Order: sequence, then structure tokens, then C-alpha cells
Amino acid sequence: MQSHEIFALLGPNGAGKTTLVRAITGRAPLDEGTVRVTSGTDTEPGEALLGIVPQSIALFPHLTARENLEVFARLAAMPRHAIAAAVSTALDRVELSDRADERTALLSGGMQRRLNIAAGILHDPPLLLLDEPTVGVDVMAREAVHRVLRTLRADGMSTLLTTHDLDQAAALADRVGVLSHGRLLAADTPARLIADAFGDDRELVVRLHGAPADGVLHLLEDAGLRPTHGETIWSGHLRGGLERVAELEQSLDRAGAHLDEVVIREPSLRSVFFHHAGEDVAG
Amino acid sequence: MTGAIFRVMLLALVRDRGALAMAFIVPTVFFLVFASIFAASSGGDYRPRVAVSIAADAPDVDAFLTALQADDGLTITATARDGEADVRTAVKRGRADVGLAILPSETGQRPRFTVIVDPARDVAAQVLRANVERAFAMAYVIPPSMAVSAAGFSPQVALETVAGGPSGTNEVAYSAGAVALLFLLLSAVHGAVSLFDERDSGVLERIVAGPGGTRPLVDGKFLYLTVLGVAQMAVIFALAWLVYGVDLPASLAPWTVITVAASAAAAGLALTLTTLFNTRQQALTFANVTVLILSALGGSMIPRFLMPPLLRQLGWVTPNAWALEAYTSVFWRGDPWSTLVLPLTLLTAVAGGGLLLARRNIRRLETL
Repeated sequence: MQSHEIFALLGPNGAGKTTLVRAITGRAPLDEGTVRVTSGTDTEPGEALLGIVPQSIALFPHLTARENLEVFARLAAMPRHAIAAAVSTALDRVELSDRADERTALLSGGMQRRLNIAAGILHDPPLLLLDEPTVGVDVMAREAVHRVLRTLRADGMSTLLTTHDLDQAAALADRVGVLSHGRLLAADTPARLIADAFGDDRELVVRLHGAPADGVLHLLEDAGLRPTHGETIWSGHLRGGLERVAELEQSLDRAGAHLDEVVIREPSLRSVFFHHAGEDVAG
Repeated sequence: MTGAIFRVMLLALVRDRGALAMAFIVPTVFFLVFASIFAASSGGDYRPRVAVSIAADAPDVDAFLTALQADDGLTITATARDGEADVRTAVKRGRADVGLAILPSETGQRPRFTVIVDPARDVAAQVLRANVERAFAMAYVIPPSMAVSAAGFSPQVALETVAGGPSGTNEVAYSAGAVALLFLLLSAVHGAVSLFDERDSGVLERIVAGPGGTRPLVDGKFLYLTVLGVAQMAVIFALAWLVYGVDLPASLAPWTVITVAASAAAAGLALTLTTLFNTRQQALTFANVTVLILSALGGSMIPRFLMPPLLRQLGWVTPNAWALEAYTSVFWRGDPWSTLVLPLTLLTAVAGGGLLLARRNIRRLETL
């Protein structure tokens, strides 16, 4: 992890994302080796380097937002005189100051998610571990969570984010890691990951009007496309840039294919994810 | 739809082997323990322990004692010459259920008797009295064909009570302690299983990563359960004082010490029992049944003196028995503080040991 960055850890179910987080927080017994969390910045001895935001709402529902944060501040061994200020700061950072005295159970799902984050940042840790921070929230609430995470990054906090949400990773992450079967297959900025995996390839989707004849089928397969929806929709990455797309379109036309639609897309983080973890996802 | 839910519930039970065992093995053990206690205490098998004193100037009582000892309904634990004070002490301390002082009579031919009884064990006095009449009849020339109660042959039996306050308050003081201890333990168990809520919600995970680890969580619950227990006991004893006249103000200091120790023991025990298991269901079932068995053996449901000797001895390993012994000592016997040392030591050991075990056990929960 680098300072001031959001690192998104992507991987299919069972890839080991949660296990990695549990290992870092000391909740997963290790077969071998050790986990050591250190900070490049100056820290006081005994200072907690990690802030934890579990996937579930790890709060006391019968307490107010402020009371919850006060409890977690005390459990984080913060000095009593510093608690009130830390709670206020955390509430400000997650945009919940005006709801501070409402019972947690009565807050909306999105607000509870933000309060969940606030409880993890009370002691201003250098590293925040977030496990699926927007599960089950609507688009507006999701955007609010993203805004909070960007603010934390701007304030100097690093965040390790595990998520299934590729759009979230693309929108937030400075760097992305793809995990599969417990191994980190790739880790870099989204742009570099895409460039490394696809160069100047384009993602192509071809929609046919009816099943392809043999000649058309060979052309599609030779171009590296695969059927994704019956025999009428084919997709894949086409090497050679936009010129190659035009060539393929002409060849298909000559072979008698009836094209309903040809869509050309820049490869995305989603493409990278499926490129690396495609077999696991399919499996 | 009903069948679908039935299947869900059935599979949940079958696939949780711990819960499955709890569902069938624990109730069986529970039944066996309770059947032993209640069968012995209500089926006419009660054999009170009797301490006997024979006054030096009493007439020859060998025949009477032989007849009394031959009776299956009593267990004579001690016979002493001129030991009336010792008998009184034995009854007061609970070493004997009832005492019998054999004294000289005015006629000089047949003795008279004083039955020495703790008011809370009145049933023992009634059993002894009946047996004294029978033995008296057999020993002092009444032919078997004659009625025991024939005029002139009935023994002179006086009743003397030891320990305790005004009539009825002893029993209330006992039942206040007994009932309060049972609910104290049950309430502690239900408070302790909230650890599973904290694990499942992720609070535990968050706390584990903090500098204090899980120790504050366990210690905080221990403190809360202890304070809650003291409050519950206070309400019950206050009621016993206000409604039944149990003299709580006079014994407030020892009551406070005993109650704090008993509540802490309940908290430690509940936290230990709870953290032995992986799921809330397993923990709750096992802990509830354990509490009920401890309470039954320890005298919270029926007085221990009514139990068979083996169960009475087993009862000594329960915190209920230690706490009740301490309350009895304070409210009935007016004993000095020194008599509280042993029960308080045991209760404190359970409290401290339970807390240490729970602190250790919760580390296992962290990784589940």
C-alpha cells in the first residue's frame, strides 16, 4: 500500500479477499508466516495503524450515532479528553453531524454505512480496511460513501477496499489488484492494467440478425470473438485497433452476414477482471 | 410452504451437531438429575439427620435409643452425653436437620424430650416427633397391640427453635436467596450470549483490531452482569424486607458483600459457559440447562436438606449452595463474619476463574 491511495482488491467469490483482510486483522489463523502492519509515517508506539470497516454494520443499533462512536473511541484506547473532538471530526467526515443524536437503528442504510466507516476512522489510522462498503445501498447512498472515501484519501488516509463492484473500483481506486485462488494475479493502476492486458485492442460486440452461416462463423472465431448470447451476439477483444474493426465489418458483409449492430468499446476494468479471473468467474 | 419451513428447521438442527446433541442428550441428563432430586424429596424417602444428646441424669434410655436407631426414617448422626449445646450448634449450623435432647422427667422413670429445630426445617421436626413417639411406645412397655397414644404413655415432647428471626421470615429469607440466585444465573447467561451478536455483527472484528483487543469487551460484560445481578438481588431482598419483614437493614453490610460475590460468580460462570461454544444456540441451550441443574442441586428449587445424601453432597460444588449458605449464615444464624470466609472465597474464585477463562475462550471466537 502507498500513502494517500485507495487500493481496490478485486476477485471472484472464494478468491481470498476476505481471508486476506482477516489475516491482516488477526482473525484468520495463518498456516505459516506472519503479517506485519507498518507505517512509513511517524507513529507513536502502540498507535493503532488499522481502521476496520467490516462488511456488516458493526454498530450497536440501540445507541445513537454519537454514542456508538464514543464507545468505539474508548475501545480504541483513545484518551478521554480527545474523544469528543475525534467523534465530531469523524461525524463531519462522513457527513452525519446533523444526525449525531439519532439512534443508529433509525438511520437509513446509507447513513449506517457511513457511520460504519466513521467508527473505523476515529483514531485517524494510516490504513483503513473496507470490506464491501456499499453492499445493499442505493445509488445515492453509494455516491455518498464514495464521496467520503475520496475525502479520506485527500486527508492522507490509505484505504484497502475489497469489492465485487467493478464500477466502484473503477470510480475510486488509484490502484487495483486482482486476486484469484489466494494469489495476486495483477496489481497496478487501472490504466496500466488495461494497457498491459489489451494494448490497443478494442472490445467488440457484434449483434447478428439470425444465426451465422459457416463462413460468417469462421470469420467471427478467427477474429477472436465468442458467442455470449445464443448465436446472435458475439463479443471479444479485437487486436489491431479501429482499422481492424472496419476490415472485419467488410469481411462479414462480403460473407453475407446481416449485422444488426456493431459496438466498439475501450477495454475497461471489467475486461481486465474477466481477463484475469474469467475462468474462476465462469466456474 | 409449511413443509418447506419444517424442512429448513429440521436441516438446521441436523447439520448443527452441537445443537443436535443439546436437543437430545442434555434434556435426558436434565431429567435424570431432576428425577433423582424430586423423587427423593417428595416420595416419602426423606430421612432427617438427627443429633441426640442424653442428659447425665436422664433415666436409662438404651431401649429407647435402640428403637429409635432401628427406625429407617431417621439417620442418627451423633449421640452425646450432656451435649445439648452441641446439638443446638449442630442444628444451627445445618450439620443436623433436627436435634433431640433426652432429659430427666419429673417421675424419673421415663425421660422427656426436647426437639431442637431450625424453623426452616420444620418437616424434620415433625418426622422426628412421630418417630420419638413410636420408639417411646416400643421402649416403655406398651404392648404392640396397644395404641401408641394411650393416655399416660405419650411422651412429653417440647419444641425448641434455634436461629432465625420472627416466625416465617427465615423461610422467606431462604426463598429470596434461592429464587434470586436462580434468576441471577439465567439472566447472566442471557446477557453473556450477546457476545455472539457482537461477533456476528462485526463489532468483535473491529474490537480485535484495536489496541485493547477483546479484553475490554469481556471485562465490560462481566462488570455489567455483576452490577445487574446486584440490582436484581436488591429488588428481591427489598421486597422480602418490606413485605415479609426479613431484617435486611440489620445485615446490610454482609448482604452486600455476599451479593456482589454471588453476582460476580454468576457473571464469570455465564461468560465461561457461553464462550465454550461456537453458536448462540449451542451456548444458550447448554448454559441454561447447566444453570437449572446447578440451581436444583444447589438448593434454589428445593432445600438441599430434603435431598438424598449423595445429591446433598453434590450440591456443595454449586455456587448456589455457597451463596445460600452465606445468606443463611447472615439471616438465620447471626453468625460472625468469619463464617462467610469460605463461601465468599469460593464465589470469588468462580468469579475470577470464570473471567479468566472467558478472556481466553473468546480468542477462539475471534477466528470463527
